[in-house]
Amino acid sequence: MTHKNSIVILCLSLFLVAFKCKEYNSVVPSYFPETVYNLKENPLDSNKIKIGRTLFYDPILSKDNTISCSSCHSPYNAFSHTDHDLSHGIYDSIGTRNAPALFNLAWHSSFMWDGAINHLDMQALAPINHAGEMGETTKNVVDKLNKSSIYPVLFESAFGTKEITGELMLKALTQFQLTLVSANSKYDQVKSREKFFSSKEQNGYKLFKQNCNSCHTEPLFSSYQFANNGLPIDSTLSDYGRKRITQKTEDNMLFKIPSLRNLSYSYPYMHDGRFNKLNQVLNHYTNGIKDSPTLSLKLKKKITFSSNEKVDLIAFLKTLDDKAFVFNPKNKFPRSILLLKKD
Amino acid sequence: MKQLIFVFFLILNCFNGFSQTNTEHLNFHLKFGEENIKLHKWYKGEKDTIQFKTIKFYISNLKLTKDNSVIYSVPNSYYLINLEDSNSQKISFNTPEGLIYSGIEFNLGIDSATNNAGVLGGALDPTNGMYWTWKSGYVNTKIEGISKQCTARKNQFQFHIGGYKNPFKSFKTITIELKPNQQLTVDFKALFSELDLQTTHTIMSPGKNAVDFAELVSTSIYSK
Repeated sequence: MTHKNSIVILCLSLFLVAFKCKEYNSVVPSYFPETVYNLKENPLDSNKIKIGRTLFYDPILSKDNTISCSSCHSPYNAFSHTDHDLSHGIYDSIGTRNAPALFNLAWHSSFMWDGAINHLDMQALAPINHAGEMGETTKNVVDKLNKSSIYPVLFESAFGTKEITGELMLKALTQFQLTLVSANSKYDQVKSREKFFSSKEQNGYKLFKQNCNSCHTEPLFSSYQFANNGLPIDSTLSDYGRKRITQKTEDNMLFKIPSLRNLSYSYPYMHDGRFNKLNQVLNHYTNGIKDSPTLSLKLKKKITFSSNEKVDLIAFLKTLDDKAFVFNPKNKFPRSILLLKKD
Repeated sequence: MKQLIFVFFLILNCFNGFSQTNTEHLNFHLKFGEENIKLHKWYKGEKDTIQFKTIKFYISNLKLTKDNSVIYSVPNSYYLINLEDSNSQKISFNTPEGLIYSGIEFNLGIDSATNNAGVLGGALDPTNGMYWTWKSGYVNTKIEGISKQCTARKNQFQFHIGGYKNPFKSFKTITIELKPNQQLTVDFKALFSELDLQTTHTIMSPGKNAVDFAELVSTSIYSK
């Protein structure tokens, strides 16, 4: 290849990278912050997203082909697992934590309730290799994909090679997960002046800003930092959260702050799924806080809500439900690919 | 960042396309004293009799030095040395022609930036079994085997040494005097003479033990 050619190709690919990032930004509202994920490192591509979506719904990722990502992250539950306090895995295993909802992942700087994972690309390695989740090994999954009837062809069209590696598999999974953007709730429509809050919702918004926003920060409704929110320890789990990862006493009982978007679809709540209803959650914050050396400073002062205020606050929280996201057909099980699969 | 560096070198190549490069080779000899280590063979150390099941470690950020200063950094230099794969023990890299160096510098292990960079391929692909899945981070050095003196279950010792965050960074920058065509030796006899397998036989997560162990490994590498 001549040098002129390589310069032309280089310029073209830089242009394409810029174009893809722009495309992503078109679904992201202007009031969202910059993504944490560097989209230039893994520029979005419809063929790669398609592979990621297929992998997400394919139980080939588990040892006995029974569990897919969607087993615990169902699209209709904002990619969480409604009705299950703790996650379910292979061989009827029960995990130790509530499967979190998946959306707006490009803005997370760490993953898992304890922040064990440092990058979205690396996140899927944890459930794949966990004995109680998918019970597989990364290498074996990649070997299965290489032998499958559909994946080598899909990877060739997206990555220009039939040879599937751990790197390419994880990049594809990331691509699909990056597209799970929830930014079309009533709150978002009010923000973009398409709709108006009711007076109850408006009052709830005021209460939210006074009492909740410092941790569940707008517009993502989480700072994605870690905090001890005063939950008494569940002695059947003895889960001390982030301390297990950092070994630091100041991280004892700290968990990652979840977003408040899509709460109607993603109950039960908290890292161990101990609350089924939003009312129980609010009652925890008003009457259930257990003081401890690591309790969030923001919760040291008692929060009080009248029963009317609780109604208003919940009315506001429901404006964060994003039905268009939850029922987006682009995020659903890819029937046309997976139902044709022979293996 | 990696891509930027790549693009940078691509551009550099476009302009310097006709300048010549040399391909250099560097052998890593995995030794137990004077003996070359083979899998599942007994070796008699100062304290223990040892058999190895796994020896894998990362070499990265390779640089060539002269008079104690870096004169060339080998781009994208990540190598996984594996006892089971003799090809992996001979690493190759390109240098500009005519470059005269008197030493090398490299990391034993993977630095923090690379650990934070998301998924990478080649030697760094997570299918190589050198990436922790329960908590992000590369395993810089993996040494497993058995010793009759080891008090763990089935006399097995397992050292999975990693950690990229302060205060438990376990990658080590090593500087060694080395002329072209010289080779490197990693002496596991020296390493195990410093260990007491009755008390230290299992390190599986980042921490002080891992940092200390990484230091021991780094002092067992020399040129010959």
